[in-house]
Amino acid sequence: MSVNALLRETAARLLAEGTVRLVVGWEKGTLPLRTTPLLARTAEQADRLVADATCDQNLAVYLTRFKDEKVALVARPCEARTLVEYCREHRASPDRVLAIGVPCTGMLSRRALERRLSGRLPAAGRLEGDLVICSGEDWEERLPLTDLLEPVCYGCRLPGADRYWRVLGESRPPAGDRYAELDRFRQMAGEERYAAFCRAVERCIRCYACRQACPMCYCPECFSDRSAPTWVGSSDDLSDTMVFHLTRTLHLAGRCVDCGACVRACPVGVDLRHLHLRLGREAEERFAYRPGLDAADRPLVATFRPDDPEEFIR
Amino acid sequence: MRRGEAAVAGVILEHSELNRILAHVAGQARLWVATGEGEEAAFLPYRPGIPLRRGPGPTRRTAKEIFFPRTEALFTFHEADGKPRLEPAKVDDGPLVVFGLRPCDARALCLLDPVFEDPLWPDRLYGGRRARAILVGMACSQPSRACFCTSVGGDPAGEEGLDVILVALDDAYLARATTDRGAEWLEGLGFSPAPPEAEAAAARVAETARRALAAVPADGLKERLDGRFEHPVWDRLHERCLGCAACTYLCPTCHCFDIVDEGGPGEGVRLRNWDSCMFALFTLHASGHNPRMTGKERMRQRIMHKFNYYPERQGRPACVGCGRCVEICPVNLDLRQVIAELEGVEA
Repeated sequence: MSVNALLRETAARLLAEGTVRLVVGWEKGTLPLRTTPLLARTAEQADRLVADATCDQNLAVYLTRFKDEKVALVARPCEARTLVEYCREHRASPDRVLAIGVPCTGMLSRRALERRLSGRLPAAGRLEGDLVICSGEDWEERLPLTDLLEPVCYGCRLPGADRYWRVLGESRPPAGDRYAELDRFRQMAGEERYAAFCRAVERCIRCYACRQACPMCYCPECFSDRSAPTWVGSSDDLSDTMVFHLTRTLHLAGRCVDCGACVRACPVGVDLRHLHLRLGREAEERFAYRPGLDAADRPLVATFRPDDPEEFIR
Repeated sequence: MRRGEAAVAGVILEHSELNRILAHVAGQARLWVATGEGEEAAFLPYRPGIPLRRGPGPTRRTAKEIFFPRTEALFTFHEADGKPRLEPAKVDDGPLVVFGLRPCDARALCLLDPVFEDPLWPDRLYGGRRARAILVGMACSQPSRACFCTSVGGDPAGEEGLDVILVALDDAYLARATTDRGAEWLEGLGFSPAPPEAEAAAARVAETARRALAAVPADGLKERLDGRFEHPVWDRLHERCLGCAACTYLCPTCHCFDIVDEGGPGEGVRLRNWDSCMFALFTLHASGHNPRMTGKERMRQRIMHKFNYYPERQGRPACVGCGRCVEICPVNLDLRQVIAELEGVEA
């Protein structure tokens, strides 16, 4: 039985039996090689569920909207890691959210595909095994999926199987060093890094797609939306936009599960993943803390352990 | 009236001539050109050698930003001799040329005009830029997969709002002035008249583009939405929406803004920044009450403004079918699908 068939059957049963009121998953989208979140409430709707490499939103973001309902969440490692953090931060509880584990071998990167197609927009597309097949009016390309994966997928860290209510298939993400991108950035000279940061931030239009797509940005009121007092200006001023991104980064220190949803959501290509990676590495190296993986009962910034490797305090 | 009476014959503009002409134009006016590809495609000030955009459909960022920038100072204020002083922002009404915008973007500016050039409350900053602007458009020879301009009254070779329209032929452009101002501008550049076969080729380009466009059932949408404010359809439409402003900020017709003061003791500046009805903050009252409590009310506002309230006032929808919101929505919440769902709405 295919993963999609298993998924549909599982979800339909959960809904029909009344075990959950809602299944949060994906269905085929309206654009080639895209999916869109599906909030299924009936077995019939659950029949539209899909789980494949074109699923590129982090679905956990919807959980905070249904805090009082019993929900099943279609979960890849990204969602499962988020769920660990949600439980730790009391945004969700394991007895209210059933994580249906679906196998993931890495997400198709829309940006990588666009670059590979040099600007041609496919009018149709599908996945066939490990091939991405897309076509326009007078062209067709058959490309290996493994060449077109999201950067966050390399070296993806898998939460334990006990994080899921049920697992429908094994995830085999591509091997790689997840800090490679960070290392590339760190090899640049200081001014070069700053210039790259400025170029990225200059592009930002403050639409907050990054914040809204981020499952860990769930504050009812973001600091950047406060008007009394105003913490950060809302104009296109470069330093204000920097303050927004840097503060968001700090608020995610030791919490970011590195799903990359912020980068994929950005409509103008701002990619500041390396900032989150940097603080993630700090959390790991200094405090042996890995967001979304370890079942410590308290968040990093609320924890003190006498055996923390705190060699930076002299 | 922006549009001229007489139809002007087209002229031929060789591809290789384009950069020389743009450099010449940049010497006489502030020149913005469509540049970059994909998510980087935008209008930027011309500089020699800037790569002109070739890609399908519209630029990712819109031409509205030239006339209605994301942030704009309205006036500065300071204290002098114990009294408040205001200094209005300088109106920039110098010669301005925008090169390479698609017909949908030009049409979108025509939809912004009645908002900012209302006879009672004309916006002098917007109006100043619009007053002498010459819009040189590039007909859409290859619409994007998300485009639906013909369903909302537009056309891939539409002339509304443009002063000159270019059609890309195999080895040259056919340029045609559509206003007196455009004719005068084009005459100043001195080109050879186009042969009749060029006109026929341009018509074929437009026809091919038209055929590539999908139809969206937007006809009669205004009437269908009348009295549907409390309809249950709104309960579910918004559910996937993340509540970001990607759709509205990259929409060529969305024009909501916020007014804020920035500064310190004794001086400051009043700014107009883009704002979005998709934000919770948009309608938050000082009391803490929010009349648009959830995503449902906010999504309804966006759709109703475009397809009911604006048409009520201006007689046509505030959507040009450029497909940007379709292409960039992080969760693929597709406006075309929303329109289709609203088509099925019964009283």
